[in-house]
Order: sequence, then structure tokens, then C-alpha cells
Amino acid sequence: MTNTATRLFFAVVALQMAGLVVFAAVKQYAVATGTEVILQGAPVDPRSLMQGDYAILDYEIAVVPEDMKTEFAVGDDVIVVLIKKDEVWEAIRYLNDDRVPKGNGEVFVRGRMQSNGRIDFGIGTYFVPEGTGWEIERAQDLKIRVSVNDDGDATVTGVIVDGEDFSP
Amino acid sequence: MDERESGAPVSDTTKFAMRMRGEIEVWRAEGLISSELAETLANRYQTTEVHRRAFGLSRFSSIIAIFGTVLVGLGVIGLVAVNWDGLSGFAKMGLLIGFTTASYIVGWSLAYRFEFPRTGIAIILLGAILFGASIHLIAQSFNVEVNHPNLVIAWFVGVIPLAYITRSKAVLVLSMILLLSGLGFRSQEWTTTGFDDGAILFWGLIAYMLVGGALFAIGRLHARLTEYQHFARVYEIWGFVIAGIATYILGSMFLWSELEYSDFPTLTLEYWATIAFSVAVSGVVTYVGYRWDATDTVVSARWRWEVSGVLAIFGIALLTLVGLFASVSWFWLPFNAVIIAAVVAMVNAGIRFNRNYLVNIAFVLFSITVISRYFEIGIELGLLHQAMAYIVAGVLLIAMGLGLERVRRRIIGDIRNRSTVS
Repeated sequence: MTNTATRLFFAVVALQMAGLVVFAAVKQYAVATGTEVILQGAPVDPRSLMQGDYAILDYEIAVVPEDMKTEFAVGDDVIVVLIKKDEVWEAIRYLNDDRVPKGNGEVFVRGRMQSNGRIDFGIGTYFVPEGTGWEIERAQDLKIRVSVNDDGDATVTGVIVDGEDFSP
Repeated sequence: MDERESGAPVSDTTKFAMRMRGEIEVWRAEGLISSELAETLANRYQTTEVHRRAFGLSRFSSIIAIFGTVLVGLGVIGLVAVNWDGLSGFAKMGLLIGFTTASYIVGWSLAYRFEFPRTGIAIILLGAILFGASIHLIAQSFNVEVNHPNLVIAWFVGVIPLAYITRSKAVLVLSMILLLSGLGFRSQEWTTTGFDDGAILFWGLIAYMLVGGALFAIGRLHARLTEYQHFARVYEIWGFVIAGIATYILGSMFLWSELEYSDFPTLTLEYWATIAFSVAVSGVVTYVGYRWDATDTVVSARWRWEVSGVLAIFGIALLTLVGLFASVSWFWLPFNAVIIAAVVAMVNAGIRFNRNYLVNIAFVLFSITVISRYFEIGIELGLLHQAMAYIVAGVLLIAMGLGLERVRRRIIGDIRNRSTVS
């Protein structure tokens, strides 16, 4: 291998590692600086070959009210404005423009309208250690801890199963 | 993995000599050359037992090392999937990134410092697999959506440069697997109407076929590059395999009889960009190939078969489009005719241009198609139609074989007559 090829090889390896670190750092920054909200959810329990067992999370706020459904086409960005009521954050407005100013104590989360009439927020997956997914699947009440940054991008940080933080 | 990677020049020569001796045996058996001449030629392409053993061991060690790499890689991916909670997410990430870096350094050192190129490249391949495992571990730790469309594509983007720097076919094969599965994940973004609409499968297959055509064209360009000639076959095979699988799926009777295609699905800009990019790459690469060969009439024959390959794949994509708009239940038939024509063409090209892999792909494609269609036709049309269809198709192929054998006998007769006259 020539010197140039050697330099290129290690440059690519360094870029790969930098990419991994940046990927982790960006996600961690979003979690660390975001506002934590708790959402009401419902689970299913399958397995991924690459990442193992996970729970599919569904959200009450993913359903657009009937009278507003015509305002969003499939594939449109949907901005859901949340406000805290008791422990859980609930949707109070569904918008298609994130430039609308937020009210006091409000947080907005961004999603995309799906063909099944629900909004996908990119937070439909919660990975669990092998063989523990049934605890979430059998939950009577499931709430999800979500960190939402200023752009409305959300990351799942934990789940609350029947009133207790999930810790298998 | 290619013998070029070993840095041992003896293996190419030995491989050629071994193939040549095989050919000489065939010529003698067909009466094209005398036994004396066969012996003289065979002596000219003599290979020593030491060379043969060295060549065999070299390939064997390479294959064993790659098997080991795949097992370790799958084991690590399995460990990631367990999602063991005994270590924090950051500790797991640190460990895996550390192992990935270590694999690259150890692999590079073995390959280029201590002259164990085959094991070294296999360990670099392990690093490339661990890189993907790391991506998925980070995604798991932050609960990024399962089957996220960008994860595998990011893996591909990270690995493909290594294939070119190390000139490793094994790393290139991994890159091809990642590209195609990554495109599969990206296809979630090709439509906004979801996958419930059956027609989206057809549009997806059209895009895949055009990507296959582009890969084939890229492969043929590699055939002209001395340093990357050994990559050509990998691209060609993937191009043909994609087109073959798509055609096989489209040849299914059930597919055309059970779906309604009246609705035009909403296809995104990304879908059309994939189509446009594949067509543009095929066009540009084929044009470069044409300019490359422009002054040499012998290689322009090569260019013609390359263009035929690309156009054949694009033609099947066009046929799919026609079928989609025609929306008739019998449209599975043309695709099976295409498969039979492709099998015959591949066997012919494989024998003519000494490309065994084409013959092997043709046999696999033929066997899978015949067996699966046997059951499909039987279920859908009844056993009588099935029996008649197979008898007619079989008689046609036997007749074709007889015709080809007559042509072959005439050619050999002509050669014998010419040698007698001279």
C-alpha cells in the first residue's frame, strides 16, 4: 500500500469514528437540552435483527382531530403544540406552520402525516433488553418520557409502566 | 477475495495456466487438435505442484478468514441486539467504537506491515461490519426508529471508500449488500401513500432495475481500469442479480391477477431522483466506455455487448411500466419469456466470453423459475394447463438445443476442412 493509500485509509477510518461520535453527540445534545414531556402511549412488542427487542410505541397525540384532518395532506409536516395537564402533556393545537409563536408553558413536537391518518413523530420505537418487552406489552397504563428540542425534534428517553419507570 | 490482494504474482499465472490446460483437454476431446499438439501445448502451460498448492492454500486461507470475520461480525451484531443492561449505553458505545478502530489498525498492520494480506483484509472487513454495528448500537441507545431509512445508507457511505483504498473485493461485496438493502430502507421515502397500494411494488422494482443497470455499466467501466479490473465482476453480478430477481418477481402470476393498479401512487422527489441518477450514471459511464474503446475495433465489440446488457435491463424496466399501465392479468407471461431469453443469452455469453458466472446465474435463475412457476401455474390454471405448458416449453428448448448442436457441428467441420486444406 502506498503512503497516499495508507493516509486515505486512516482518514476514512477517522471519518467513520468521527461520524459515530457526532451521531451519538448530536442525539445526546438533543436529549440533554430538550424539554422533557410525558405522553400517553400504547405498546406492541416485536424484534429487530440488528438492534434486538423493542416496543412499538403509539401516541394519543398522533391522532389528528376529525375536523382538522382535511388541513393536512399525506407527507405534510404537522406541528403539534403540547401543554402539560397534570402529569401528561396533551395536544392543544395541530398546525402546519412552526412559525406560529408558542404560548407560555407550551412545547411543540414535529411529525409527518401518514397515509393511515396518524402522525409519525419518529419516536415509535423503544429498545429493551432481550426478553423484557413483555413487561411493556402487558402494561395497563403506559406513558413515555420524550425529550423535545427547540426545533420540535423528539427522542424517547424512557417509559413509565403502570406508574413506575421501566427498569428491567 | 482476489488473488491480487495477496501481492503474490504467481497466482495469476498459475490460474491462467490451469485454465489453459483445461481448455487444451477440451480441444483434444473435440478433435480440434492432435494428441501430440495437445501435449506440446500442455507442457508450455505447465504448472508445478508447489504453485498449485500455494494458489489453493492462498484462496483457502482467504475464504476461511472471511468466514471467521462474518461469524465474529454476526456475533457482535447479536451482542448489540441483546441490549444487555449491565453496561451503560455510553460504555457499550465506547467499547464498540474502540473494537472497530482496533480491527482497522490490526487489519491494516497484518495486511501491509507483516504481509498477511488475506487475514489482514478479512480483519479490515470485520472493522467495516463493526462500524455498522456501532451505528445501530447508537441508534438503539437513543431509540432511533427501528428500520430508520438512513442507518444502512450511512454504513454504506462509510465502507465503500475502504473497498477502493484496500482494493478488496470482499469489502466491495459488503458495500453492494449495504447499498441494496439501504435502498430498500430508503424506499420507505419513495411514496407518501404508504405500501398498502400494490402498484408501489412495481414502481419500486422499476427503480431497482435501473439501479441494477447502472451497477452493470459501472462494472464494465471497471473492466477497463487495470487497478480495479477485479471489481468489474462484482458490479456485473449485482446488476444482473437485481434485474433477475425483479424479473422473477414480475413473472409471478399471482402478482398480476390479484392487484389493482388503477391508482397512480404519489411518488416523491427522491424516487424520481433515484431513477434520474441511475439513468444518468448508466449513460455517462457507457459513453466513457465508448470513448475509451473508440480507436480499437476489437474492443468496440465489447462495448456493444455492454450496451446490450444495459439496454436489456432498462428494457425490462420499460416492460414493467407498459404492464403497469396496461394492467392486464396475463402480463406475467412476457416476464417469463424474458427470463427464458435471458437464461439462453447468459449461457451463450458465458460460454462465448468465458464468463462462468453468467452460466451459473443462468442455471440458478432457470431452476428457481421453473420450480416456482410449476406450483403457481398448477394452482392457478389447473394441472392440465400446467402439464401442457411445461411440455410445450420443454419441446421448444430441446429443439433449440438440437439446432445449436447442428450449428456447432458445422463450425467444427469447417475448422477441420480448413486445417486439412492448409
